[in-house]
Amino acid sequence: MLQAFFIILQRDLILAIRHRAELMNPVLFFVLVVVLFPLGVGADIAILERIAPGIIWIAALLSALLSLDRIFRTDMEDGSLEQMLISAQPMSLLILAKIIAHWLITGLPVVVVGPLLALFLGLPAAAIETLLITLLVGTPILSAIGSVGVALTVGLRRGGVILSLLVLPLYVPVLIFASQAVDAAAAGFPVLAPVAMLSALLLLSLSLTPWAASAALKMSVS
Amino acid sequence: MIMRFIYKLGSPPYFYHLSSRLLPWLSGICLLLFAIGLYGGLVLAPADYQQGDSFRIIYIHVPAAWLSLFVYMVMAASGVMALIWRIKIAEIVLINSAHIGAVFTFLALVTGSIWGKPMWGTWWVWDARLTSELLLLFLYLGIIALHSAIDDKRKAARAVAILAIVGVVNIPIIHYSVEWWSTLHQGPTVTKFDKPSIDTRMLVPLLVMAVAYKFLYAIVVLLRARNDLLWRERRSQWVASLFTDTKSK
Amino acid sequence: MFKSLPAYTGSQSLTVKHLAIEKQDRWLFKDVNFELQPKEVLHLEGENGAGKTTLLRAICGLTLADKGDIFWNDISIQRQAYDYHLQLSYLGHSDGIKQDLTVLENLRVSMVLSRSIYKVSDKAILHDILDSIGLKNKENTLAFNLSAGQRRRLAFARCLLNDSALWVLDEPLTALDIKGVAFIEQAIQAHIERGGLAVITSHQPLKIKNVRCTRLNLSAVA
Repeated sequence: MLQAFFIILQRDLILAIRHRAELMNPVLFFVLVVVLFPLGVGADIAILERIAPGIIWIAALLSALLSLDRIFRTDMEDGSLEQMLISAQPMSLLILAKIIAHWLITGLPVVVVGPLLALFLGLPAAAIETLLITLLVGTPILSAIGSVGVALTVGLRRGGVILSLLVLPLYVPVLIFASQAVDAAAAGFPVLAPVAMLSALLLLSLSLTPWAASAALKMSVS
Repeated sequence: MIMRFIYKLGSPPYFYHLSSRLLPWLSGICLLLFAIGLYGGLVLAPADYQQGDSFRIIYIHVPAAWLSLFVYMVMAASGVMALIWRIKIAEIVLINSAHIGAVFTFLALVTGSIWGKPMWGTWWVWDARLTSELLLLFLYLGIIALHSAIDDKRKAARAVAILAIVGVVNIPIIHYSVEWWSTLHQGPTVTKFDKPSIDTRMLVPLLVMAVAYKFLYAIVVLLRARNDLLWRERRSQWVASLFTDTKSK
Repeated sequence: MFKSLPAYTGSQSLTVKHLAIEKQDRWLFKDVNFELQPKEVLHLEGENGAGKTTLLRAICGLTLADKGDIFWNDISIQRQAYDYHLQLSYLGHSDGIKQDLTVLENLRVSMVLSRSIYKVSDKAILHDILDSIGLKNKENTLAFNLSAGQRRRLAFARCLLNDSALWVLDEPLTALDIKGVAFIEQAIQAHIERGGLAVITSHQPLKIKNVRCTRLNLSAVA
């Protein structure tokens, strides 16, 4: 059973590496969205510094949204999804492997680049560490919750638009706790509460979303 | 015995005929409740010492907000039944409740906004309740959009059932996070949407209105469900016999 | 290689009772009944759109039936998903092959997913399998670079990996040349002689000897 988990994880990572050029797209999009904010809001560093946590996190949400499709789309199209469903392996375990692979491919780069960008937005050093922690804990949640949305819409022709509508409201708690944690850190307040909530959300989503995604995939495939 | 009743309710002809018999009664009670509630709220209840008469919009706003959550719960429960037992009636109640719930949520938002104008002079305020309600509207719209995007309606029902259940788990999380978020910036000022100790003469009509709204929901969902059911089962015997029976009368 | 395998252990039977599937408020088929015993093949016939693929997918458990039930060894397949899938190999319309993985990588994934009786690290067996499907020197070729017929044969290899008594094959001869067709026929022959069962749709005639073959025409049933 564990062997199945690791082979699917390994498989998805290999597939991503074989399309190396595409790996950069989510990160580039992330950077682009962050860059748009000073352009749209004005270069007043006082304002930017104040809203930097929100900017970084909203950009992370949008970048996650853009990259979600890849979790199940090719598998559905080439028939490997069906094979996973009728294999004698628990589907939720395989989905968990795919979620983790997705995060490693699209979320981890954001975790690395995010704090760097925050510096350019004037976020004080005290908050950068918290930003890193929230990104590390929060981006896997985005992959997990997103997987349920993709599982529901992967069979649709124009599923992309509906995917955003389904997934963004579910992302709101992550956005709130993460950005407020960084805000608190910037103002010198304790961050334990929101970070603890984020961690709880991470555990909850990793344990529950594979089941939901599995049920949704069975529906999509039928 | 209750289980038998619920089991029978899953049969489309039984559901249809039972609802035909119930609807006149439900409508009568609903009208009565609305009359009592509105009279109590608009005429009998005294004017609020702070807000004057403009507080009376709570008789529309608050029951709508309560109902928007109640309908979501009913929707999620129907979703569970639709997923586990694949009962067609549950599937139909599910999607029709989504439409009705969305309307009530929208009503709550609009009346909340209208109430806010004389209070703070703005058409919208980002407080916990209204923001939560707004997100709830998006959850409803997501369900409606997903359902209409899938052609096979039985498959669509499964999809939407899963989404509704996922939503139900998320609603408390979203609600709590938004409440926490709003206390950070608004400070301890209690919003007028909160209910401080409320005079019984104001409270009773409110509760009556809440029950009236629930009856309204029951009526509308039955009407819509019957329509949906007739369309879905249009090729079946019992639907055909509905027309032949009335003709022979 | 498959010629030297022992007979399937235990008794197997596939029974379908009063199966009906609805699509878009219309019944695809209303009352399908058949029983399959060891050493039997069910040949599904019917016009395009009669529901052959849907029936096959229902047998695999990918599509839910609206009425009726499917029994494996007299137990409903809904109640024994794990055991049933262990005994099932499915070759669908899509190959279920990842284009961006090599032949060997695809084979390894299939082995783990199907809980193969062979070990992933057993190089001899892997060579053996590849040899028998005619892809001996193509181990490290990306599936993308194979011909359609070669991919179909690689997909078929799934059936040879675990000791599955039930083969469900949807147009197994598509895209195959004469040698490929002969190979599939021999494989099915050996499988049946071992005591296996098979449900097959095929527009082309399948030459299998000494086998009890039932025909079911779906267009007639509807």
